[in-house]
Amino acid sequence: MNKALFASTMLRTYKLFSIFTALILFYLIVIISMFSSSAESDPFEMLPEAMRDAFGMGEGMSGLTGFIATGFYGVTFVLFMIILCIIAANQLMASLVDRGSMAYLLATPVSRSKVAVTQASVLIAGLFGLVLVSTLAGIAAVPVLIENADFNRSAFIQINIMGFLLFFVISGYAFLFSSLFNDAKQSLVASGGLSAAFYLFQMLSNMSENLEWLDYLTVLTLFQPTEIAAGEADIWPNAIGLGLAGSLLYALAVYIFKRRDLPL
Amino acid sequence: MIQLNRLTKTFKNGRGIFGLTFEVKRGEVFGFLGPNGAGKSTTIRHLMGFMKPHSGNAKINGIDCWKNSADIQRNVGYLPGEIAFPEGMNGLQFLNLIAGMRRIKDNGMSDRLIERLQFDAGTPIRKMSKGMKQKVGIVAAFMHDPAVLILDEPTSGLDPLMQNLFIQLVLEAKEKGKTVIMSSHSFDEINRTCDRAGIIKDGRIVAVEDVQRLQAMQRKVFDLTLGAKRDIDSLRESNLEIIQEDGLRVKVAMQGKYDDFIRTLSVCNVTNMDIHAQKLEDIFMHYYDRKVNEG
Repeated sequence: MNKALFASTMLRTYKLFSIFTALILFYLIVIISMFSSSAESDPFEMLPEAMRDAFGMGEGMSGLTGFIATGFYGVTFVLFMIILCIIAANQLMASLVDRGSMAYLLATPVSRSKVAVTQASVLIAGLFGLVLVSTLAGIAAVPVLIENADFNRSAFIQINIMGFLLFFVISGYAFLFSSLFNDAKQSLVASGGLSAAFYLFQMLSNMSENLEWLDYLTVLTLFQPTEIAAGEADIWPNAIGLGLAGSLLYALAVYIFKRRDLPL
Repeated sequence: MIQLNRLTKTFKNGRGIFGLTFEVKRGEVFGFLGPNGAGKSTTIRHLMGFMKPHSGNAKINGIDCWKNSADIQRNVGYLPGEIAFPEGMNGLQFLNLIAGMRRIKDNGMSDRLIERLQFDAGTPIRKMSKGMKQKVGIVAAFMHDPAVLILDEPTSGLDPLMQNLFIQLVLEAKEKGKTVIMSSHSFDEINRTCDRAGIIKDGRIVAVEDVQRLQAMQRKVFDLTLGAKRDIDSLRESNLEIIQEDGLRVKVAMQGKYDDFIRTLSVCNVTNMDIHAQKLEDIFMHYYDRKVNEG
């Protein structure tokens, strides 16, 4: 880790993280305020059943927490975070190599691994900050927006922790591709393609029982907001698995970046 | 100070650098010449530790450039051939970043350089002209007063005044005993700064030569317009090498021996005179061809 580089990279990327934090907060608050406990109504009822299944909304809602888990963490949160991870990871490594400005960073006594670790720290810190802010905002917003809410705060926090760990892994492979390719476009295509495939697998598996085996091919399976809200999930195995996978991906990214030829 | 020892790197397309061996001594300014794509940048990338050699090695101050790439940077100042700074910063923020990464506390050197190069470092980088970016790069390369300077096409994008100033900076570094390797296309630049120059062609060093000796080898072509036919006759009677005649215009090539030329011309009526100096690369190529032919 290099402090000067960390501060400078933070200064150049905080805008991106801020925009996504604002978007995510906006959607979270809108979803919370859409909940009306009296009617137990489901605003997603109007969607065709197949579509609800695809988005993982088939489980039904268990109170406000389940409503937020399905309505926000099931789709919107995941999509925004995937996009953020891909853009941010690409900016932090591949685009510096592609444009050539990495040459200036490596022309200092800061080693390649330190540069990579620092850039990775900015990504992880940004994602963590975003999830932390939206967790706190969610907890603060519920009593203001909903009277007598039946809100399971601990489940909500667990959902956010698991969400962060999921994107620790997704940002991990995005960062790996970003460290691997000389061309920023290739890095974007690789991490975008893999993420799209993961998302598609999850949708298909939700839609048809015959395709449920696709669950094993996507990392998104390990994030189960609805089950956590319903109190049906044992989060520890998934949390440990995601934590290990993410650490491994980041470590591999640093290792590869340290050893490869750079066209600077 | 800088040693290349059979440095070899082959790319998939068959190009690369092959068995480069040469040495730049402490306190020496070494010019590095060659056509585009000959391997100059590839060589410099190895010196900076950006690429891993297939065989052989590059060393600066006895330290391997690939294995200990971070260590060599302590004493090296680098000016890349292509100027690309991280986005979304101004010049000063960029220079502070580099100073921070180098743990430089005193930015006196950096301030003095900005003063001398006369530019507003607070300008956002995306609004800077090519020449201005080059100046930021020069400050970044010199700010820590490094013992070794690696400069890739340092004066491209600078106006003649700034080119002169840059040459001044290199000469000052030389006076302070710094070791410099610079690639360049400008004869004037190499001529005024370098002790020796090496030329690379198709990934191989074809010659390493004293710049002064090269200078003596430089052919100059004088493009003369004479007053009358008989002036041409007196030129013909002399020992001068006439390479082209067109009415009253005559082209004379020479290499040293300017006295004869001036004596001959003193009896002629010369209405116009242009001088074309041979390019440094051409001298090298010429020299190389001759060596091959003699060899």
